[in-house]
Amino acid sequence: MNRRVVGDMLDVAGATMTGAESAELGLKLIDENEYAIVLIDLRMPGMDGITAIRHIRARHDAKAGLPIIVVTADTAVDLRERCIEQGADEVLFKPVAMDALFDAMGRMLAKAAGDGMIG
Amino acid sequence: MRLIDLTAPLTMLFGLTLATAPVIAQPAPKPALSTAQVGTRFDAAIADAKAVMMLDPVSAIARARDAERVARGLEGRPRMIGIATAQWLQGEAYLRINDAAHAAPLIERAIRIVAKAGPPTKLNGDLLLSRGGLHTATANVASALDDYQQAHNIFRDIGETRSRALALLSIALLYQEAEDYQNALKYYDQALDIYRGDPQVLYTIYNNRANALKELGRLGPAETQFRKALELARELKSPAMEARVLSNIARGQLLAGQLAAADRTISQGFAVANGPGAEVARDQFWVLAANLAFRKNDLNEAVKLITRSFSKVDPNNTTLELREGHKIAYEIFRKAGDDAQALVHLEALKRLDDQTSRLASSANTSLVAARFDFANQKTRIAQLKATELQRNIDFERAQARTRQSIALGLSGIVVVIVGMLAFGIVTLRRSRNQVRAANIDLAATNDALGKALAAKTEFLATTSHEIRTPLNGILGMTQVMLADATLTERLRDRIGVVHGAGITMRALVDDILDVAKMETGNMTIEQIPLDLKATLGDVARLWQEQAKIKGIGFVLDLEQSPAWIEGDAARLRQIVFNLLSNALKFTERGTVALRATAVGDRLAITVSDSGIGIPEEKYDLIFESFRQVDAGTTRKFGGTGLGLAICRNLAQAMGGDVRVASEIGVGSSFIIDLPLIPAIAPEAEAEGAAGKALLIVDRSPITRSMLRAMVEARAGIVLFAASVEETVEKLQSGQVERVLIDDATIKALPDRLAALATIATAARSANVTTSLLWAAPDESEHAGLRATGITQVIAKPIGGAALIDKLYISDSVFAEHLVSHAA
Repeated sequence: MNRRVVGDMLDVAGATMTGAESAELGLKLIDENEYAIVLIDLRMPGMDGITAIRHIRARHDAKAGLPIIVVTADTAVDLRERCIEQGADEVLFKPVAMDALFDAMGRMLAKAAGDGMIG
Repeated sequence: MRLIDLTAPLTMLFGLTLATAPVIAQPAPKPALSTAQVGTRFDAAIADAKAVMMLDPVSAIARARDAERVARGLEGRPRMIGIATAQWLQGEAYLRINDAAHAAPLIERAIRIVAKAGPPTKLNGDLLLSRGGLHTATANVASALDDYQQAHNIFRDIGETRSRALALLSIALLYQEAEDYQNALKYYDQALDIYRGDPQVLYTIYNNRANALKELGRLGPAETQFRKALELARELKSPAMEARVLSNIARGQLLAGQLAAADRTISQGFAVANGPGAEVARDQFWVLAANLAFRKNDLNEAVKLITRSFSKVDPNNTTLELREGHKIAYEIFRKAGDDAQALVHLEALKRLDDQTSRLASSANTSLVAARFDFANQKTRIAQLKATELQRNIDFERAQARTRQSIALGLSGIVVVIVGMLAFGIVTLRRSRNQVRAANIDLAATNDALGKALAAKTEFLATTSHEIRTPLNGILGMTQVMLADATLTERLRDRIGVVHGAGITMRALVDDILDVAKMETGNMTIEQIPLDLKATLGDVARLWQEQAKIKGIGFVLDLEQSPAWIEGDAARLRQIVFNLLSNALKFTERGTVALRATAVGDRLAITVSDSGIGIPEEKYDLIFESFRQVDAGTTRKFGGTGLGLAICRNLAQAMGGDVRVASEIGVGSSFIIDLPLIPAIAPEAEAEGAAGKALLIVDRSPITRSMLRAMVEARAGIVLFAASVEETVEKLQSGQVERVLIDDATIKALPDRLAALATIATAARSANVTTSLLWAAPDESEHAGLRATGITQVIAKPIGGAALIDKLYISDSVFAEHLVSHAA
């Protein structure tokens, strides 16, 4: 359900999204393709979101620096800190405000452009 | 499986409480003759009413009304008690004939009267039991539990053990209704612990305890309890009670597969359940007999018997006692191939199940909520005990010390010294033991406190978490839908309603989470400079519109308000938002006002309304979590009752408090009192040439956000436009200093160059430079773009720093501009 919601939101903004229903699949997709941003929902079967973030950051190529946004319903007090510590760039809490999502994505792209390029 | 015995014991309950209703209190000190006479007449009238209550409730109503008339001839407290007693009896009688509409106001009135008549007596407790019964009948479980609790506490305090047991019994029945058998058993056990003196009460406890055990699958113990109940029923020579237990036993035996035993029990049942008034019981036994036949695979017999049980009943109008009958009937008819009949009973089953699951789930939810309220109460009681214990410990310690010093201070007189020392040592030791005992108690209480608190917090946090996920689906999609420009007005309206409801839900969930955080001390309050007037103005704006829609005046008075203070803007907004929300909710006409003033070294923010007002005795209550002024408020106005609790908690966390002053029918004022720490206003934002803006033309919200983030450092105010029309509009408004156009937006248009030309013309008339981001233009493309009148073309891809350079720093723009003009 969440992939669908996010997917539709990104449609509104004119962005394209590829979804993966598990962290393992997601990591594989990142391996094989180029993406501008990674959105991770912490509720996944198998490997959990935070471990997935660690895997991405542990890469030895440019993709280790991929912008990562965490989307979660978990409101534990230290969750945001934990995610950012492990390498996430931003944490959004459900229910997600569409504007907040776009804003976060835009800012992340800008940061990437700071070191890289916009195109 | 439904609890068939539920209604019966409750009626019995009322019967039981009646049997020991209080007779009138002391007569007033007046001419003895007349008062005594009136008193006697009153007693007689009450006795009359009670005598016929069980058999002829309607007459009982009349007689109780007579009693009330007589009571009005008395004076002072006896008069109040007398009237209340008579009204109570009337209420009870109405309940017996299932007339809750008449019973309720009578009982309420009586409760109000005795509340004023002095410290609680048995009558107070009895009235609360009756009201609890009313609430149970209307499935208002939280209120029922509350009333039973209060009744229990009153009976406990005045030492009425039997009634106390009845209160516990009533609570147990509530839990049984909600299918929480473990807790029900707990309360039955408690009731048994404290009172075994009345066979009827014992019977009720054993019977229902057995049912609960049966539901939990503990058939052995269940049967033991049933047997005990049976004995009592026989002692009391009540065939109806006997029959009830026998049917329960038979049911259990059938469940356990003990067919021969069930057969014997059923025969016993038939033997007992004869005579008038036993039809319902006999029908039950026919059903059981049919079940037995079915189990023995004697289908014909089963069909005969089950038809007999329903022969005098309309299956479409049955109530819960026959649910089991329907179930068995369905199975029998299906096996026998009579689908038509099977369907009839299946439909009846569904009807009854719908009813009861609604009841059970509402009961369950209410009980869960009530349990947390209860835990709250327990916590509070434990806290009080803890403070008291602490006081006791301190006191004992102090005493011990005094004794010591007395003992030591008396030197010289040996005998006295020895005596005193001995005394001192003994009492010291006793005190020490008491202190140790109190300490153990304290530790245990603290432990219980901790557990209760943890349970509540966990529940709150989990609930909030679970609700957020589906809420994401709802709000996510409504946002997506509302972003669709092709939506019709009507559809947009409707989706707007869903969206608004989702937003409200999210606010409620956030509130719940806040309570959890506050309870566990996980709340952090900021202390940074904030613009008070702006913050309050923001919140006011949100509600001004709502007030206008409702036709209520809104006054914002910040004249006397300090400008910059230190504090937590977000939390302050939250409190004021909550208070304004309440103010508007409870006001139908008049005005709502928000004021802020400095009072010495404190800040006072007042939210006042001209609404229904709050009674003084409820002032403290409304600030408790999950509490509203009364149950009706939730129904009428909605809400979880969390807002004020959070407001107060937040205010207290900030070093202040929230207080209320109110007048019924006139209005209420909520005052937020906070420490006033003035702050220095930060330097006004410097950049951006005197308030003019950078206009970014981009139709994608993501790239809009990205571009803004990239130029933030230099740009000052940033405006957006998503289309050519919007761009021209904004240019004409004169607020724009320069324009940055994203190529994707232009490339999506049918005639790119024309669009660019339009923008460029509008820009030139406003004396504004235009910069266009374009993907790697070659020579001719570049020229073509410039020809439209665009001042500057910036090639993509480009990094952030370079972009800023091109836009603001480098002179190349003007150079190019000059060059092209010169050429």
